[in-house]
Amino acid sequence: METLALIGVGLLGIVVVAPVALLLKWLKLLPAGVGALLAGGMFWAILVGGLFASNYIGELIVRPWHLQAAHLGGQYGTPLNMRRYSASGFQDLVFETSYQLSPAQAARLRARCGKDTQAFGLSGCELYSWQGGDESTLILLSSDNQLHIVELA
Amino acid sequence: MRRVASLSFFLFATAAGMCLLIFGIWIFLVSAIPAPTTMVCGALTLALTWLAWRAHRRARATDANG
Repeated sequence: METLALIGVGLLGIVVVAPVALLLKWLKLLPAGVGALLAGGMFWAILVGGLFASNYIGELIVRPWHLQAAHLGGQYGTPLNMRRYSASGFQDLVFETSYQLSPAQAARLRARCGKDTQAFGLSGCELYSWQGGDESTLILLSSDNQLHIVELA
Repeated sequence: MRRVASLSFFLFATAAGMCLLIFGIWIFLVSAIPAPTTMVCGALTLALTWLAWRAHRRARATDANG
């Protein structure tokens, strides 16, 4: 999937970056000795890497942040204690994010635990569950103090 | 002035490359489906920055020698 995206974004990146590099070279705005090809390659790598990175910032940081703020009332899982992220499925996509919580954080969350649930190969107490049409969201706290956020989209 | 602009160019490219590389390594570590594009683009940016810096130093040395 990423390879297909890379072909599309990569070609688009060449179309965007090539004229910019040539223009900068023509205006003599590039450092002395740096050719348009070298600068263009550098800009291309920054642009393509930045586009992919922004997509992952949304998937791995922003979306879990919103979900936790909305349904847990605070940030328990952060990028620093994230342990696993996976996106699977073709038409029914399943996004799963797992965080390792400290015992104190887990104890705070365990106080608001609902019923024990088993879903998507995970088991634990349910902190939040929502289902509407083909979409669903489940937030679980497992016995090993891992917080799991599962989204079906 | 031109020298400051050149330095900014290389500093920006190095910072961007480092950010992409570190973020890419983090994605690689946490994701079940490692997505290497960000990491590879970061490494590529740093490599091209180094090549550009080398070319820049050579051009300046040539200019200085007349």
